[in-house]
Amino acid sequence: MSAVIEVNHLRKSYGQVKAIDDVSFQIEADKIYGMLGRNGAGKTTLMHILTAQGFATSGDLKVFGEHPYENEKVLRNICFIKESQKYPDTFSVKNVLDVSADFFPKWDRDFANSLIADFQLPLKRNVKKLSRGMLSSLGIVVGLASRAPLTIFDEPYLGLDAVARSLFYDRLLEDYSEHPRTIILSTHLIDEVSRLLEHVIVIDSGKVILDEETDTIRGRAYAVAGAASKVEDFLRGKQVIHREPFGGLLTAAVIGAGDGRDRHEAEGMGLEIQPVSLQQLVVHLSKINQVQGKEGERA
Amino acid sequence: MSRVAGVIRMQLKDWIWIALPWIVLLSAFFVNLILFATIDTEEENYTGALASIFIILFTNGIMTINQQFSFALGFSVRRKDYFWGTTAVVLILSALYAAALTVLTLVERASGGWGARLHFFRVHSLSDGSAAEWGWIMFVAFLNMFFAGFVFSCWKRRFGLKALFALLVVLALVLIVVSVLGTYYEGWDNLYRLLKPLSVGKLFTWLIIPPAINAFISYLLLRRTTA
Repeated sequence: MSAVIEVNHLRKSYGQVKAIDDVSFQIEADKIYGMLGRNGAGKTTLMHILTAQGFATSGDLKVFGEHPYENEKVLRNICFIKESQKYPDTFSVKNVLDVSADFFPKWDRDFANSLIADFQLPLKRNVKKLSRGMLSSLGIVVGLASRAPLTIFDEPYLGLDAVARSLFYDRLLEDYSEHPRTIILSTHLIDEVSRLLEHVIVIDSGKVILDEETDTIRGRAYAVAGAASKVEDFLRGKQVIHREPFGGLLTAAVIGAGDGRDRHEAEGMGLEIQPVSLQQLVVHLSKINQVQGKEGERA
Repeated sequence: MSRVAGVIRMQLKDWIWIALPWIVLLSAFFVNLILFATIDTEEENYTGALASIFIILFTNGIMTINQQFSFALGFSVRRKDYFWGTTAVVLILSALYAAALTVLTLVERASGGWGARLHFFRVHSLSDGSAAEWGWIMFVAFLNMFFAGFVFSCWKRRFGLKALFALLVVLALVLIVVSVLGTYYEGWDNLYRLLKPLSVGKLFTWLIIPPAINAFISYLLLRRTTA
């Protein structure tokens, strides 16, 4: 298994503020990663450093085995689609595609054109005059058609409606299965992308608080649903991370595998065991991290 | 494709580079031409409007950092490739602009000021030598204008707006001190005596140094600039 990205003890501080605080992780080739976390958690800062558009304060970083800074061999294999991408005032959508063809060696013009049609982007329109959703679509087109061995999408669907978002997920999965590559999706809309992700890295307050395969994460908690009173009985003595009442019903997320005795007990009480949503788990883990962080500060 | 070539192509897709200087200059030219062709005058007419194209090169030097640098960095371009690609574009366009302006100056001279005693492209004492010398002077002037704008823009991008103001204040103070000291020690007379024997063309050959220094400083600034 080869690591596309290796990060060791990476730190980035702005004066007293630690945007990235001793972060270490690896990203393996040809997998879809989720870089999850709240706004301001440090995701974008981290991705800027990974692509040599920003600088770390300290720590080691290797992308495709080398440091990416001013490294053409590395950079030409990276496509980083960021929410804050700027475009020259005079550029049309077509100009952006032409430039992409020059800078991304694996650019597929036909694929780009079919995506442009899918997302109904006007080729001749000035990028400055695109709506927020269209601008996001343009980023998605560039990111997918670049076929870069490392493609990073930072909050790629701002302003996109549900139809366009599901179009993005579908095209991404289709093309990924034909042309495997490493994809990192950074987002706070966790549930929507959870079915795409093979591995999840959760960042909170500049720290990595979770770095695991999606399947393993799902196994760490389960949801139980049924009549509120019965569910409450079941929950006694268990670690509950989320409660969602609906009329007389209650759905609760509980830490544990949800098999063996627990499953038996639940079935005996007429309750239903379901997989838990990734979002709830991430929210829960972020909360635990914050509590621990505060305790750490006191100690 | 080489990344530098990619940057050159990217820059040339921006029509502001190619079209804007000529739109401004030629519209000024035609306004002046119509004006002076309709007024019946015995005087020679100078306009000074040629300066507009040099000012546009200065503003292009400022704007490319805002317009193209962040864009290019976001599309996985190295800072180095952006710098060399942009420098190549400026060298090529400056040469083309200078050549075109030289030709227009020659036509102007041959046609007696476009038949209206209009000296739009002629600049007194600068353009009176050979065509090659006049072309060279304009080429060097373009580079001076562009990289002056470029280095300020790189500085602002690297250190922020406050640092730009600080730099301008410091530069103004340095200029004042230098001019006072120059007057006090009679440096200006000495400088004049030193430069007097040089032809205008030779003088401008020395003026290739400031844009080279500005380009080098710009490159060092860009090396540590973030997207």
